[in-house]
Amino acid sequence: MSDTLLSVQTLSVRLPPGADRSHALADVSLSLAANEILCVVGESGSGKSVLANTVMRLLPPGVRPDAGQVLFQGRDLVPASEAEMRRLRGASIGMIFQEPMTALNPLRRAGDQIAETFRIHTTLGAREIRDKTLALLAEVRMPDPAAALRAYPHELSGGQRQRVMIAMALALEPALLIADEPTTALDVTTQGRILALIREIQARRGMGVLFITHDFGVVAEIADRVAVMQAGRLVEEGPAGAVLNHPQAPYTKALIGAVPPLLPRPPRPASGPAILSLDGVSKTYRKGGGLIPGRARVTHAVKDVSLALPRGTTLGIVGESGSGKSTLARCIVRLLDPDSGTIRLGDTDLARLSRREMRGQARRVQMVFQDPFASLNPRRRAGELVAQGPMLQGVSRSEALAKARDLFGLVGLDPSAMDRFPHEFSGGQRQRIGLARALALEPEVLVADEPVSALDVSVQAQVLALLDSLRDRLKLSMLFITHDLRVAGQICDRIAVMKDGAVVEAGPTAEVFAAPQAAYTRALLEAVPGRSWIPGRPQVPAA
Amino acid sequence: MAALTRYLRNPAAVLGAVLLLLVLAVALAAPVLFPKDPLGLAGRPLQWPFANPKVWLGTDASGRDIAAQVFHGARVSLLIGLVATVIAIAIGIAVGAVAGFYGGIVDDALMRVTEAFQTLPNFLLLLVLVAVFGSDITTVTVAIGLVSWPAPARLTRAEFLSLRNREFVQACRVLGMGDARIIAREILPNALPPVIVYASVVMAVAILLESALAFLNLSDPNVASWGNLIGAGRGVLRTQWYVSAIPGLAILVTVLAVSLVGQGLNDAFNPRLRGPAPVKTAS
Repeated sequence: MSDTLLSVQTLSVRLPPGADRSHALADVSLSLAANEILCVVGESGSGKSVLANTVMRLLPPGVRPDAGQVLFQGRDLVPASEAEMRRLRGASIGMIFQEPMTALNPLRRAGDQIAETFRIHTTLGAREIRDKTLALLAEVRMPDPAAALRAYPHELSGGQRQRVMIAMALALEPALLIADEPTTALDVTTQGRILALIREIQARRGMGVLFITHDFGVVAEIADRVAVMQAGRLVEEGPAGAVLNHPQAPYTKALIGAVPPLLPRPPRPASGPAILSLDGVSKTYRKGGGLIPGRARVTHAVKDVSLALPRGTTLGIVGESGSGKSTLARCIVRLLDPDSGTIRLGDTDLARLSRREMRGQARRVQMVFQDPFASLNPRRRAGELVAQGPMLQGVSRSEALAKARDLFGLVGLDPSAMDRFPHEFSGGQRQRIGLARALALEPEVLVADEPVSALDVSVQAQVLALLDSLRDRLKLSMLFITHDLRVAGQICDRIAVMKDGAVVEAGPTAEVFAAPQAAYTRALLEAVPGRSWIPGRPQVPAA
Repeated sequence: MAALTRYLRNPAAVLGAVLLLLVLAVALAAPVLFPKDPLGLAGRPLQWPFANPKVWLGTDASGRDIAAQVFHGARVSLLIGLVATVIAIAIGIAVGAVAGFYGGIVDDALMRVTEAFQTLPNFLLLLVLVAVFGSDITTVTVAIGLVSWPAPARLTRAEFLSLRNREFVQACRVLGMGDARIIAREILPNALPPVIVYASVVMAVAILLESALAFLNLSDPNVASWGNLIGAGRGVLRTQWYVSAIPGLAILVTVLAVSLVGQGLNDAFNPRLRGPAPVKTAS
């Protein structure tokens, strides 16, 4: 690890006037040796992606480095010409992007896109290129390399697409691989496999990897060294074990403190009868086929799900994308109509109500949505959004606004902000508005659909703590949908694991975590990145 | 207000606004400057512009004052443009909103009707309507509105399709809000900006459609519209070309002004589509 591959020295990158700060990067110095993985960690807006894009010179117009050097194999890339950069990109420096959906051209076959790298940078013949492409696909462990060669991106799964991206980045054996959140868009089990793949190839080829991520679990899984960034500055850098277990900078300590440990919460007594019970709920989607019933494509989104939510507790529904957990949540609040089964809230069967009758039951079950940006109407003031629900139920406007004012205080927002529009709030604050809106109707059951997955880890911790305290104070019963087992362990008394529309395991969180019965649950638990690292508890050997 | 600042920073858009205000001023000044009937006799026919200070833009083949007709014509053209646009946009929004919001069979049915209208050239349809219902100014205006609604309808439908599944709409449903209220109060305000921008196109086309009708002597002959004046000059086009050219210029300026304003509004509402890409600082 002696020879330095990439060395960033006192680099500053200027933003155009009118941005939220003057520099995206300010005075950043880093170095990466050949044959090591350096993780750059930070929350959104920390400048970690700008760092990666500066090395690759992929900055948007108007954003330019104004001080410092980027030395790659001893050569400064900042003054390099565009032609020189083109020769380096792909050949000496490979890059993997976050979104495997959009990083591949949907109209060209996967093999063709990998082969393009060879065509641009080498003079190899068609047959040689084909052989090399096939070998690469085998190296990234595609299940069927020959078939993948001919597949269009839409025919591949998210994980497979990311493998194709990795194959493209690796094609010319670059000395440096830049990975910008390569697993963020993937499911947890897929993420585990991709991380293992990157680690394995890195070790085999002795590459240097600059790995950008926001997730400390991923850092614990893969990093040799860690650099922590905040608002464009480097706050801490060091070997992974030291930074993760003995963080020095207060910001790093706060960030790591906000990572939920993969431990079940102390269980609370399951009190009384179920307030919400599902019995045999199913939902199928039909697509296409027109009037001919046999030709439609049928997806069983939810298959015969039976669950019970005891009063005053939180039931977590855990699953990967496509497991049907969101469809189930939408059936419960009747945004979707279940095909069969009963959804009993108290003694009302919600599944059997007409749309009109359901409107009358709206105040009993409410929902918090995932996306803090899309879930608030951009043209309504925050106070109005919260007051809307009670007003629909016939409460007078002044009364509803007074209530909204109380709720703002309850969810930790300044009531004087009621006149502002949603875009004037941060993501975490917006999620609090969404929560206040749901609570305004004093629901018996709160359905929360991934309420923290779009938030930075420190904000996520605050919102989780708020949900937890509100549940105790308001005696709420909560259905908490999440893909993140760490979050589930933090807040749920019981969890149900879903796969392909069916519940494969359900039970108290502690029992499921300690002794998972279903094979899929075990796979999920094992795939949680950095599972053996428990924040704030050093001396646990890294996996 | 950011949109207003962006609008004022765009020179073409400001020019359009100035021209439009000019046309508006002309329309408002017409009864003051030319209190007499613009279709009344003003002097010897076919006088050249600037030859006689009493009729400074000259007279047409019937001896009517061209200046008076141009000034009064601005009122007629703007009124026709405005009313026809309001009709077209209102029908378009109603059809598009219902089709986009409900989807499925409702959408299919409404879109087939829309396509039926779109497959006919709208000027041909306009001719049919005028031939059947007569050509007084009210009928002409309503007819222009009736042939112009399909495009705004499709635009509104596209906006509704993308907005109806947003989480904020779902949140309103969960709160127990009814469909009519969701459509009118929650989705429509968000869907409106592109439709408003498109209204400028509808207005420009409406003015042109009326002129084209008048040129064919199919518009209301009892009002002093620009199209009528052009139509009146058709017979003397080779010798006294100014009879047609002056109102033609007025139409050009008005349509240009409306288009520039529309384009400027579009750029102001969607700043991302112009100029350098926005800076992304968040990862």
